[in-house]
Amino acid sequence: MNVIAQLLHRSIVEPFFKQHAGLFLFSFFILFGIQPSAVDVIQFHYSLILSILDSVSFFFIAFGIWMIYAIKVNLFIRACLRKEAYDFIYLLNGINEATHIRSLIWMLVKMMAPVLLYGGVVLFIGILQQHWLSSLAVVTAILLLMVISVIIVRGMIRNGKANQLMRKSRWKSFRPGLFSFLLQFVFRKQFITLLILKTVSFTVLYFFAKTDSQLFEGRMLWLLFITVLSGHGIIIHRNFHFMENELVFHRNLPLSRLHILLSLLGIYCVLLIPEWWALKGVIIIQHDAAQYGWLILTGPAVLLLIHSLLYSDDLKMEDFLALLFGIWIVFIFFSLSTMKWLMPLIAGGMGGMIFFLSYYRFEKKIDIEKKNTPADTGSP
Amino acid sequence: MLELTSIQKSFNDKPVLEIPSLRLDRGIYWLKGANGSGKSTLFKMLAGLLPGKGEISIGGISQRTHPVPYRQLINHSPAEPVFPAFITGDEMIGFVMSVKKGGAQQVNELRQKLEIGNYTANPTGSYSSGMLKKLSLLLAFIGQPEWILLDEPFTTLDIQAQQRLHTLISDKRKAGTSFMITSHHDLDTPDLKFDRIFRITDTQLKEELPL
Repeated sequence: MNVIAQLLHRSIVEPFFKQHAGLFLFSFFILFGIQPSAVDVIQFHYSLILSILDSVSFFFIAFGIWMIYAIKVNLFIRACLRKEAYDFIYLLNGINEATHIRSLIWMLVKMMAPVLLYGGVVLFIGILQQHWLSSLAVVTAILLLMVISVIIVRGMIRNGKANQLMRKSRWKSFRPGLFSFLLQFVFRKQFITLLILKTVSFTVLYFFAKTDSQLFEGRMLWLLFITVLSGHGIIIHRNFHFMENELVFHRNLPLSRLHILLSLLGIYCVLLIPEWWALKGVIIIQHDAAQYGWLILTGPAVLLLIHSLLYSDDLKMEDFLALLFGIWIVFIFFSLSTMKWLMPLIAGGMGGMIFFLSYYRFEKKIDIEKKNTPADTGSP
Repeated sequence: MLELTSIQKSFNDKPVLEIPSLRLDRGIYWLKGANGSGKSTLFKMLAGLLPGKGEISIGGISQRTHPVPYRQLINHSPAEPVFPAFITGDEMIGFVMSVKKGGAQQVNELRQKLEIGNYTANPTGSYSSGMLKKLSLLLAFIGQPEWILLDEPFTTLDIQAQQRLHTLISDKRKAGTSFMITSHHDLDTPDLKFDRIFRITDTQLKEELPL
């Protein structure tokens, strides 16, 4: 490995895998850990690969997942390049173009390894099964993702840091304010998380809402909906920290608590539009408008409650996840009872009350031990 | 008048500020103290960024009981301003202008006085520390605040910008706005005269003898 490749490996590839270790572990568990035996794992993946090769829809689903992964890789590199510690990467502009491109390809091959490996296996089976056209499609798809990624990263390095940071915002038509800033933060800084969460929640809820209620226990839909709402925890946690760090100056502004609460409610209503759309089947197929109404109201009320609880104390991520699990348990019990209709009232009421009581009292804890330890953790 | 009663602030049970009583009439005040003495903490408490024990009020309007009107009367520019990197300076100005009831004319005048160019059309992530400081100062002057808290306002500014800021503070003082300023630089210049000087030592706020 030459010096440039080694530098890119240590500064971008390694931090990428370190930062996403949890996600990789989770994906590995879902793909390889839930089947009872090794034979089942092989059979499961063999069927999956044959489906990708046989069905156009399955191929596009697989391509969509690979594309999301490629976007995540690109966004990670972009985030690195915007940091001061990564200014040395722009020195690559001074080296020979062929060496530069070769280094980037090698870096992206390593970062895209999970996609390339799985794609390679699909290709191998495709050739063995003589699915020539499908195999060609897989090769084309993977090559396309690689080529586009290399072009984008090369472009980012060529354009330099200042040009990247000065990219014009497409959000200017919004009236500047808490709502607009939070909306930008969610859609610009949490886009991949949002995309994954919304794809999963929309698919699951759409399927259950469309299915005849005779086939499934009616409470399943509520159970899934509460689970989907709890899945928004990570986005809510990031929103909260964005408000209390980068947007902390808003605490000096003459904004009433009601104004801030309504901004949060607005954000969570916007976030839940896909779920509201997916749940339409409850009216159209199941003809249960009342249940649809309660589901619609429960969504933002629960998200608001989760956000408001963060003001009660400066929670670390593990404490927040424990709290989220507690909320999930409580609302699961509620959703199993006949008192479901109380959920939006209780969640909304409690959320509003906690927010009003805690907002001005909230204070970030100062971790003296953390302050005294070296800041360099090796991650970007 | 800015009035502080029974102010106490601790971090991890360690007291950092104890001010039994303080009344400040209109004027320009210089707050001194070593690094970590509690100057920024006091500013954050006054600005409503940090909770603490005790009562703070401006002209009888309490921070605790009337949080929104109180915040209309006090502006703050932190020592190290932080803004969301993807938001432009113009968006920040627009937001603060709308809630602090500042006008476009006032902002244009401030832009000229602080010599802030067109860079505010770009996201704040692309700004140098001096540009961020100027944006933060501009935001602190928006509206009709009775008090402006400037935490290390001259750091990262070039000499000309420092002189323009001196003039701007003096002009605003003549118009009735009071200032509390922290600085490690020597601030007592002909165009910027301080009414009183305080120093925070061992959690206590003590007045220093006039210069």
